[in-house]
Amino acid sequence: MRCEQYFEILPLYVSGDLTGNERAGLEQHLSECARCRAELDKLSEVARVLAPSDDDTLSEVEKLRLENDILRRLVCEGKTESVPRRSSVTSLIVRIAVAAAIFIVGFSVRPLLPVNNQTQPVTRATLTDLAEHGSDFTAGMRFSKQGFRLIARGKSGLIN
Amino acid sequence: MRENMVAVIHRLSNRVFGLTYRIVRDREQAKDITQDVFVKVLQEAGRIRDRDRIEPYILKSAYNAALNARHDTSRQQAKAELIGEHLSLGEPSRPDQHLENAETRSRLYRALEQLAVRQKEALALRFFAEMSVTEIARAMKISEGSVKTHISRGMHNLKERLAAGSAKEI
Ligand SMILES: [Zn+2]
Repeated sequence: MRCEQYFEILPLYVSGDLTGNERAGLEQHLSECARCRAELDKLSEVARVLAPSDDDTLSEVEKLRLENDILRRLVCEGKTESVPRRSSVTSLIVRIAVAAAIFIVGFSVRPLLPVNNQTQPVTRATLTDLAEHGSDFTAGMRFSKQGFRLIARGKSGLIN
Repeated sequence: MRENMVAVIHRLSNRVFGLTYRIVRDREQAKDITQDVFVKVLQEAGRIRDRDRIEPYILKSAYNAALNARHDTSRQQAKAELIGEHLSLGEPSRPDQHLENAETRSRLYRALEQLAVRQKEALALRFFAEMSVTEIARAMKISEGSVKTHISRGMHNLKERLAAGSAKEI
């Protein structure tokens, strides 16, 4: 193979996407060819800059908060039609009733939630998923200013 | 295969954030996009049956959402004529990063934005989202060989643009 052909696979060597044979052949060539080694250095620099830095990851706290927000939205937005987001006395009562139903029915007999809109299955799936975590996982609803919040506790810690 | 939504979120949240953050270059915006993507995809999916399919799909959706947000931001900034070229292209916001690194990085990100669509996508999914070639092929609906070609050409292009950029500044 000529150097130009090795050039084509050098980026994949850097990204770890060559097969064993390709890699062996390339490494053999690299040991004999300064031109390809120089090319490898430049491509490695590109890969180094593309690789994640500390800045690109969430802190533990940010991660927990973000995951909690996602779960809360999955639970709450799943019942936006039956439970209006704007608080009124009526909706408050409905919310309490729905939450009680989810909590009592959802975790004992398997969810038998009121079925009245197309997003309902999501709520059910989420809560079933939580429930099926079994002894590693306990979940419940807590009322707060934003509405009901899903509280989930797993081996990995507090998700709420 | 049945999969637990909580587990999928837990396993993927950092990768989705890392991917979106490196495209929009704004932590809060990246968090918002991460949230929206999970909620939207998981609501649509209803119940997760196949982790091998849902995970690449979530990451691909995050890439699209981040790219759209980036374009919107660029347009707004261009309109507002804030400019100074590098301001408009979003710099790493943390002050603790080594200056030289940060400069190389922002130059590379600028070069990345100018790559051909598929090269940019393949590189972002491989390096930012840390997806495998197989996952990327599935998400982009192309062959693994094509993914490798896009990655290879994309990296060579970035290398050349980086070199051209530093030569210009000297
Ligand atoms: Zn060579």
